[in-house]
Amino acid sequence: MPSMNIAKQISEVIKEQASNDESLQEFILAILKWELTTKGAFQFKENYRQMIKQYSSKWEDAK
Amino acid sequence: MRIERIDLKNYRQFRSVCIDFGRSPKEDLHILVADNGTGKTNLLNAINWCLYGNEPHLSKDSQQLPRLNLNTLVQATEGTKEIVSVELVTETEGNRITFKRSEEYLVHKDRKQPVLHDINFTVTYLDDKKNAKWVIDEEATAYVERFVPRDIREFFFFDGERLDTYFKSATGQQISNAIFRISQVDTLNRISDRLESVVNDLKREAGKRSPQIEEIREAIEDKEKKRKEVMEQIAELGVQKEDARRKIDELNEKLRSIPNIEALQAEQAKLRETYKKKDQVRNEKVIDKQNLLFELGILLRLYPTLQVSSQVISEKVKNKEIPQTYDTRLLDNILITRQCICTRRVEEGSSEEKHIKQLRADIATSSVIARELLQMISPIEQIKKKISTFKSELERITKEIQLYDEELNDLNVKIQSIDSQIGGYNVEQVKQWYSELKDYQRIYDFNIERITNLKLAKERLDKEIADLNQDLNKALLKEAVFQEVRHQIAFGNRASGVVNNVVKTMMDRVRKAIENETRDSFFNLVWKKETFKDVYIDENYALHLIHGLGYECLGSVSASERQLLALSFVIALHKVSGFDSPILVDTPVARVSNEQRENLGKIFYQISRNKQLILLFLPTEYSVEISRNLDTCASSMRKLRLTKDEREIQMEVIR
Repeated sequence: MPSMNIAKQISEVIKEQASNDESLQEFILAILKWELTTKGAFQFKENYRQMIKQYSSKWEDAK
Repeated sequence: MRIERIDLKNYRQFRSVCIDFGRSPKEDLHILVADNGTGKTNLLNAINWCLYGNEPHLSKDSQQLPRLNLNTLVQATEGTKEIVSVELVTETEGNRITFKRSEEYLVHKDRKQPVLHDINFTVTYLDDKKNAKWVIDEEATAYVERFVPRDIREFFFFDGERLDTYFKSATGQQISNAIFRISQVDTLNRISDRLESVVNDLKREAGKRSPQIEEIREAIEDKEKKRKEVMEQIAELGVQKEDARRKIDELNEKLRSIPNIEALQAEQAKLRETYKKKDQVRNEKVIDKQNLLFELGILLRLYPTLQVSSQVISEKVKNKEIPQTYDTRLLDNILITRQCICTRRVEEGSSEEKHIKQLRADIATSSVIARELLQMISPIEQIKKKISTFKSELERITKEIQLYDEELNDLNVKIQSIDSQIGGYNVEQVKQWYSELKDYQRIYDFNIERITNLKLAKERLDKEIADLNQDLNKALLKEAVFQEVRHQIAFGNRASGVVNNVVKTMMDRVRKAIENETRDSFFNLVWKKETFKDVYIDENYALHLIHGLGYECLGSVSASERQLLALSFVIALHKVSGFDSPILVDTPVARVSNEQRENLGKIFYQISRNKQLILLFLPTEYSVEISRNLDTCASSMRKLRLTKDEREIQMEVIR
């Protein structure tokens, strides 16, 4: 895909911005991948909810 | 991506034309020469139609005509089906991808237009295992988006005239949109919006089970709504501010070498007023001088006489001849007593009496004259004094007049200098520009002030929303039943924050990368290396070209330099975006002088060494200045011409 270079850069920036937060990194990258491959999907809410549930279960927040 | 072949069937004047774009080992330059109305722009339309299903460069005349070739339509029999198709065979990193759009028409002789019966769009490619695959319709459209996104296609295929006015139409907002699209920031923004929507759903669900949480949620929703409105206003005002700034730049460039005529005219009016006043005083001085000359002119003529008279009187005074000392009382007494001092009788009527009477009369006359002579001394002296000061008085007035003349002359020189400064300009036009400049500056300043205030309002709302979210978090923490949803909300919010930061970072990085690539390309290709100092893209995504002397010069450079900058920007966009498509330019040098054509010819040649370049020239455009640079290096060269009935294009392959 011609825009791979940008996608790679985005991944790097996501890792920078969410460094030391593996669950968050993985979640955003997974969402990004889903958006890029399933653009315009109507069922996004269901998918997002499921992914939030899945990735937040391993995540620890400051409260 | 490079275009290997375009196959056109029944597409407008292209009844059956196949153009092969095989490249040379070093260059990838393809030239098509055709008269106006001979398919150049429709070739651009054909590519657009094939990839995106529309024809953005269609002329008004062509809009009235069916897409199906007219000869095919006329020669078709009633009820037959005819197909219009454009097939674009491309190559990307060794993979061949074919895009083909076709329309099937049903021909009815009693109707002017054929009836559209079927539409097809197919993309054929090889998968990882080198098996042929194809996708159709929506999937095919999505496939195109990954190669040359529709939103930014204007940065790939354009006509030469647009290239010249590129940065007038490609505003900061449009460039920003392109960078947005290229950075895939649109995807990130979509993620952010969707995360916000899902997190809000989670809050809403919690709110249904707790009035306190619902109250906080509603307050957050209200503030977020307000913040969105504020951000929309900031964006709108940002566009207005950017428009005003562009106008200010344009006007400043127009006015850079033009004096401020309004200010000069005001100065000239002042000078004329001063001239008028000084001229009036000078004229009064001239009248004074004339009066002086008139008054003293007569006296001057009498001066010798007066001088002699004065001398005579002075001598007589000196000789004590005047005033006279005769005592007439003795004579009067003789005449009364009739007796002389010698006792001799003076008879009435005698000669002695006559003599004494004559003597008495003579003495009287002589006394009057003497008195009058004495009385003359003072006026004569006054006149002499006046005459003696005449010269200095005349010199004084003359000097004053001379000074006024000098001043008036200086004023006149200044007035004329302003005339010459203003002369040659369309005064009304320049005044209009200055007036517009003032107006746009006012709009710009006003928008900056409003944006600043709105940004402060947004910061306040951010703080309020953050506080409310903390309140919500605390409220959720109080009850065990909300623990999971609270955790998910916090996770979603954190993810949203990270995504928003990624958006900002990516936008900045891509902007900087495009700026650097544009600068490198421009300075690598430009023929006047010392004339320009810098190229940069500002925070509002407006592109600036800086002259060696430090001023903004995008609007005042030659058409060819503007085209070069546009090409450099396009090359930079291609490189940074990874959407490395060909550049196709219709009438690339139509607005460029012969001398500059030579320069652009060299530039085209250099670009074609790294990128596929398809140039569609008019015969008059393809002048010797261009051809001597491109003839030998072009990978392919073709001429297009219309058949006699003007319904079909025939192609002649030169190379």
